[in-house]
Amino acid sequence: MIGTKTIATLGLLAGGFALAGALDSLSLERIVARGPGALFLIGCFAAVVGTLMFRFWRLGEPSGHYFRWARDATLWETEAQLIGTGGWRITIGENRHEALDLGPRAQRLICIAIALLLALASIGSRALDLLGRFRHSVTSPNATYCPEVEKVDTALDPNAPGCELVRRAYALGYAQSLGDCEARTRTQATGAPCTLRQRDEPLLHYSWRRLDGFWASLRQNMGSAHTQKLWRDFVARFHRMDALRKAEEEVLGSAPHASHHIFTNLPDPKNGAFREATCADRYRWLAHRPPAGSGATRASLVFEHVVGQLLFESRYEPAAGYCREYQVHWGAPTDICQRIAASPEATLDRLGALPSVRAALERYALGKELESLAVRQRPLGPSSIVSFQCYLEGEAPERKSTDFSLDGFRFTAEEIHVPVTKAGSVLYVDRYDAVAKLFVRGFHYGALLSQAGLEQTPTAGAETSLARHDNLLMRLYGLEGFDIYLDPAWIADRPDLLEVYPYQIHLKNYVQMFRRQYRLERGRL
Amino acid sequence: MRARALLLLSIAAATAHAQPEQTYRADLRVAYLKAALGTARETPAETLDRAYEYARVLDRGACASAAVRLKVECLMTAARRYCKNKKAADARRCPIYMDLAMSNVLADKQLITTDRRYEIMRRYRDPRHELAHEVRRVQGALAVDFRLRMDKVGDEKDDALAKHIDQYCVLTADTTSLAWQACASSLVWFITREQPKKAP
Repeated sequence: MIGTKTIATLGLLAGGFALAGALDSLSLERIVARGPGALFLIGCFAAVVGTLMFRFWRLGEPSGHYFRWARDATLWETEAQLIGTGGWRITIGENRHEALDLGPRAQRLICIAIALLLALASIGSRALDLLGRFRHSVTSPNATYCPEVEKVDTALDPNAPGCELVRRAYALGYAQSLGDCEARTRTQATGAPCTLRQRDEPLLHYSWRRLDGFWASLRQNMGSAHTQKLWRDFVARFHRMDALRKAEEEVLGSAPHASHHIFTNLPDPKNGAFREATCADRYRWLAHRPPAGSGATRASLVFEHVVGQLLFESRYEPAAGYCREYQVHWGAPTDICQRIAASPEATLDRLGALPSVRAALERYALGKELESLAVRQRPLGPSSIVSFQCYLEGEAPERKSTDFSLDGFRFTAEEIHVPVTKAGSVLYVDRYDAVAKLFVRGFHYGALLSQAGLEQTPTAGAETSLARHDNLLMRLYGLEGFDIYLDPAWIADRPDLLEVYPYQIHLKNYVQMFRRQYRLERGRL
Repeated sequence: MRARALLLLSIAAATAHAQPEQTYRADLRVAYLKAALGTARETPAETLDRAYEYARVLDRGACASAAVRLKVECLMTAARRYCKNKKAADARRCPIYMDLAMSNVLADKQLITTDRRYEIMRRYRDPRHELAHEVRRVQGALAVDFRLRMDKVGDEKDDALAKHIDQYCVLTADTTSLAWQACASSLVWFITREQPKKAP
């Protein structure tokens, strides 16, 4: 015979342990990871809630009823059968202080333990953070009011003295515009209109405004014009159900947003270059200089490095393209661009490039079809999302563009021929130039684009200065004014200087200049 | 015949002379860094502080220029003048510690980004002190990274340390945006200044 209160608290305790075990709340790492703030809150919660449970459920008093496991056939006077039959049943009866009950102290401890287990399972550092934020949002005086209108604070303006003068000159008519100061003023002043309660607005007016707004929106949404618009939208979508389904499939199936193909007569370096699964990681970071290799694949490694640096490396700024949408076709014949122009479908199919090209074009066509449903895609033409480039080494320098049609769209096969790199060369500035010109027609990296700018160090002076043996550290700063991507000149013969050259300055600038122009021509949907 | 031989000889000599001297070869870099380490250790801290302050004033004042090359030439001329009137041992050490100090001043821009510099200027009442603190913090972080990466580095002699500094700075120039000279001068400056001077 055992009291119902005892059964209930023991059951809850067992349930608490089961829950904590299932959620792994009792492992030492989890407990430590909560942090002192959360642990303190858990302790407080257990003490308060456990005591309240004990008080409100009157667990200090004996149970009013008991459970008994009855084996005999007859029931006692004040009890009834709960479950079971025959000689195996549990009965419930009125307790007259004869049932076994835990003492008040034990009950209180169990209550606190239950609350503790519950808190351990549900309170973490995130909960603590949310509680803190809730308190802040409730007690914040700005929660339901419009924020104060910020004044144009010229004192906080980092250009305050300059702006003050400009404003004064503008007011007197000496300047025609406020220039940057105007943009700053506007930035501070603009913002969406606030519909919350104004600071000086009476509560009744605010309530009326809310009610009026609700009524206006209800009338608008219940009006025939709105219903007709909804119906028209529904019909339009219903008629384009296939297109919508395809668009959904493309999103779920990660269909290509673009398809760019680079053909080269260089051999495959067989090092996993431009592999779809690994390229994002492979080109996230690259060394400043292409690898100094030798053998048949040296040119391929340099080409891979240059393409990776110009298009995909994200050390300096976001990549210019998604590498999975670029395919490099190694070992292509030297007339590959002519072949593509002559019979694009057959050639691309043979090279395995056609499926991805068609997928990108299909996505483009689908986007056009869905434009009427206000599903806007990026305003890019087919020649921006699909491109063909041929990089060919071993012939006299030449740059060609051949137009052709595929699936009703006009494309251009860009082709560049460059001589083979000299043996022993460690600086591949000409490769950067060739690849950049292949991707961006007419790309020219001149003095005006360079960080060195027009202050480009005179060659003779720099050469003499860097041939001296004193001030070795300081002299090297002079190299910052010498952009090897403009013209490597004498520095190409100084491998010692190439080792300590500040590539990060000029390579970064070169890549940025290239990408700025590349993005004008190519992109992804 | 003799004339032709003489002509060939003179052409060969001229060609040999035209070959540029590799002043930044790895062994020469290491030798220079070794000399810099030794000089920085031997020179009293106050002298180094004065040199750094002098370089800083010149960098912001008389030698301030948007053209790096002009600034460098100006600083080198100023360093030569500064060392001209030094006596005995200090005169020998001066060109090297001045190079080190000026290189450190020029490296400041690479150690603290423009955004961070601007933030410090806005936030702190004494930005100059905070900037110096920030430079020291970055140099410290660089020194810790150096110790961690070059796991063989310990209490070793200057020639081994110089070699390790050179290797580290060449290696990390690829991963960080820190030029070799900025990295090397920062490490030499920090390591020699933070280590307690050995009793003579």
